[in-house]
Amino acid sequence: MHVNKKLIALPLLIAIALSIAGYAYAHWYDEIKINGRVEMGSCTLAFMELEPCVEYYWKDGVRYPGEPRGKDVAHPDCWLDELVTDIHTGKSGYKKMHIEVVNAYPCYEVHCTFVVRNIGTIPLHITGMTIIDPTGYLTFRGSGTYPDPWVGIDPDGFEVINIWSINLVSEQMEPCMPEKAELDLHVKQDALECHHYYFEVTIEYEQYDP
Amino acid sequence: MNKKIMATFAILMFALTIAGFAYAHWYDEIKINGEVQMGSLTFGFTSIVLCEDGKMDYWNNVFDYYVIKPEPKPVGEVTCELDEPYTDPHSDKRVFKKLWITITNAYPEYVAQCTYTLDNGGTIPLDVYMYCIWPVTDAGIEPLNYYWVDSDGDGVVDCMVGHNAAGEAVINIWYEPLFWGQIDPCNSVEQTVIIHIKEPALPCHTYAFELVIHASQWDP
Repeated sequence: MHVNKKLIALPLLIAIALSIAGYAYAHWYDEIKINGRVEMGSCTLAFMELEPCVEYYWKDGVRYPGEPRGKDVAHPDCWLDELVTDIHTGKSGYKKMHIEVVNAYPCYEVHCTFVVRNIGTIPLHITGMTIIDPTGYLTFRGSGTYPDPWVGIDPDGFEVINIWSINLVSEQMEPCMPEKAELDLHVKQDALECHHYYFEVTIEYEQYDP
Repeated sequence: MNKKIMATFAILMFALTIAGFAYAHWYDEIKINGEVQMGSLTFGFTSIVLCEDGKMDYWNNVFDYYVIKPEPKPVGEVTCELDEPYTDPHSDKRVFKKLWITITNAYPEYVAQCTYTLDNGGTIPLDVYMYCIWPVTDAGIEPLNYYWVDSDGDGVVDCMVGHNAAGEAVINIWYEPLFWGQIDPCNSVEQTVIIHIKEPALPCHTYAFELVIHASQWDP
């Protein structure tokens, strides 16, 4: 008697399929969920306030405001630029501060006082201050802090300008916290007539680091 | 005539024999009554043990790290909340099916931790067998692609990493312990989920995810 093998296999397959289906339906199952939501803060440093730049001179080791003998020769000006608004806090400030000195001469000195503020929501840490001449004419050496100024050197190797800053490096600034800072500029003897000298100071910062 | 009488007698005897057998035959029966009372399988959270934050600090290299706790400054904030209560109809034990972890004012290297208990609120041992993560794509949420990675190189995936469109790792999420196995009824296991925000996370963005922990009835 001939028995079709397919007929033998068919019930076997049905049995296996039912076993699998039975297992799947009978197998109890449950799950739980963790829903996470992360809202990021912001980290923004900006210039907020600026006092008018003042000029001064030294006589017998004493610093006096203005120019020697009451003259009004050079003229400093400073202003804030590039408005920025922190999208998290809605607070605004400026990303750039300009200092311009017109009709300068050797030994002319200018003092600028300004305020930077953390307008974000995360404490920040000032990691460095660097200075360059965006035109590439001057090169700078020095740390920029008293008593070691940034010294601007022209292509002939002459020192033409000294710049000091109040050292903000390593300062931690809490949100909303202001920090007053100063910048001094001294034109040196080797500065040339009718030349324009440029510099750009960058304040580098990052989120706070304990 | 005699034959008819004899036949009648024989038939009568036969009929009486049959009737006599039916009435006289003793009879009895027994029964098995079955009743199956099913147990229940209920998996859930029952308590939040700890909800804290900190800041990741590295030394030597990125693989040697520790979390400074509490957070050195109160900048970020994390809240942990249980939701979706469910009472097992069998055991009357209440568990929660969902845990919300909300982090606000986060920043790179911020770490949030939530320690909770995984409970068996039912009457049948359960088996934790799978962990999944799903991105949340609601409006205003920065989409990330999540993958499991083997962070310690032991050949077993142990950390979920959320990547941005540029392929940078934005969030690390992992469990301590990454618990697998059985939880008996009325027993619980304490577990911590750790969320670590990484450098490529963007300011003022919102990231969201859903972690799912799967359990089935126990299998010896």
